[in-house]
Amino acid sequence: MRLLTHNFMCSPRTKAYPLRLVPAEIEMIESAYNPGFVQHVLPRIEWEPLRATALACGLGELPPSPPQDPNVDEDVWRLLHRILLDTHVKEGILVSPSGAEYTIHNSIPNMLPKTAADAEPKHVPQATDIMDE
Amino acid sequence: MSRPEHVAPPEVFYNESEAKKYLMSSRMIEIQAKLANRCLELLALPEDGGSKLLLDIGCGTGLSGDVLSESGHIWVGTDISPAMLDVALERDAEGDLFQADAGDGMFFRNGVFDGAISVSVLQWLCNADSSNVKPRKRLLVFFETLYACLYRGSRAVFQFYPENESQMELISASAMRAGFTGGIIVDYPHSTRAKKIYLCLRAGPALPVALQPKALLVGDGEHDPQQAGRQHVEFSKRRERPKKAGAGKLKKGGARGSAISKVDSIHALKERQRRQGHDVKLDSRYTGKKRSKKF
Ligand SMILES: C[S@@+](CC[C@H](N)C(=O)[O-])C[C@H]1O[C@@H](n2cnc3c(N)ncnc32)[C@H](O)[C@@H]1O
Repeated sequence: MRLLTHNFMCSPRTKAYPLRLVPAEIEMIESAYNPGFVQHVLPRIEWEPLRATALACGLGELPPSPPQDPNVDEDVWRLLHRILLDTHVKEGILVSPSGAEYTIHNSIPNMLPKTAADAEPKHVPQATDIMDE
Repeated sequence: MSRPEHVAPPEVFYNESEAKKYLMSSRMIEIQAKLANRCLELLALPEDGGSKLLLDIGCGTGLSGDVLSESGHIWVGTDISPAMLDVALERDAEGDLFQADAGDGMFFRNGVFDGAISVSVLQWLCNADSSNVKPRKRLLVFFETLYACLYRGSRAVFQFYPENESQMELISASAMRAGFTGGIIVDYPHSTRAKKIYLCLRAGPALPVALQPKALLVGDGEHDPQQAGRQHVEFSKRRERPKKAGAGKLKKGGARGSAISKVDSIHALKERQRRQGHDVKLDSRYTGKKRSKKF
């Protein structure tokens, strides 16, 4: 999961925000610099949570407020591209404000509601189990 | 052949061996790409050529997502089946993947996505796999939370396989109740093989008729690209004044006939009637039949 997508996530149902990221493994996958896209999504970004997440992932410090002019501060725009699009969370946990946890494994957050039985990985019945019923 | 939704819940039906087909079968791969391409076309993204942020609901193995990546977009996919998502990882799908049940609703802030597509998924939400599952409620939660996370004025396009007309109406009505405008588009309505059904939604007020999407109408145009190209009515740039309420020839109860064989769209007027509490059904302005006479 890219940090861009993380910034856009909220709790299912309650919509509580932000989901605090506790990263265990981060993967950098470099992509072609796309300033147009970064400018396009920047107005939708919550800046403070993004700064906090970037720090938690060891990506350096973003300025206190988002850049305004796409023609100045190219360093900041490039850093933003790197943070938002090239930083992928491979393993970790998302923690909602009320303490609910969602695990990220193999880059995939599991948002399925937890039941008591989910403490262990869910047993997925095979199609044959069902059809034999 | 029985419908897969009747066999097992999606996370069970889409097991490893089913997921493998999306990896191995060139036919499967071609179909997913074709349907996703048409969804993307119906999204009618702004023609500024810029990358957009899109959702793929029921993204599975990421074949549909590949179409979005190829067009330069960044995408986020959700799917309930771990086996399908594993294949997406194996295929190095470029989107951000989530394991989630669409019927539980989306989990994104308001207005963050530029559009959503979904290929062959929606009919699964009509399943009641256990007695405490209420499809009507799941559909509404899904559409409401989807509406919220879409940028105002952007669209969601779902290719799907409704089991029957009442299922199609249940799905459309849920979307309308959630605030979407739009309706059903049927491509190639007269061809059993090529016929495909799309729910085309807009997170915002209904567009004037001239700007609404049009179906592909050649009976079997799929096999005659030139014909298909000629008859594919694109979104027109021309603006048209929306029809005044009450001024139209709008039929009171809407189309009750065989909605599947027609191209339906739900207009602002219908919306108003619906908000006023009338039981308004899908209405159809472009009937495939009428147009096909020309050919
Ligand atoms: C026909 S496949 C679509 C495959 C996908 N477009 C691809 O490129 O591989 C339908 C997908 O819908 C998913 N699905 C079914 N019900 C779902 C639900 N309630 N929530 C999320 N995904 C669901 C299935 O797991 C399956 O991957």
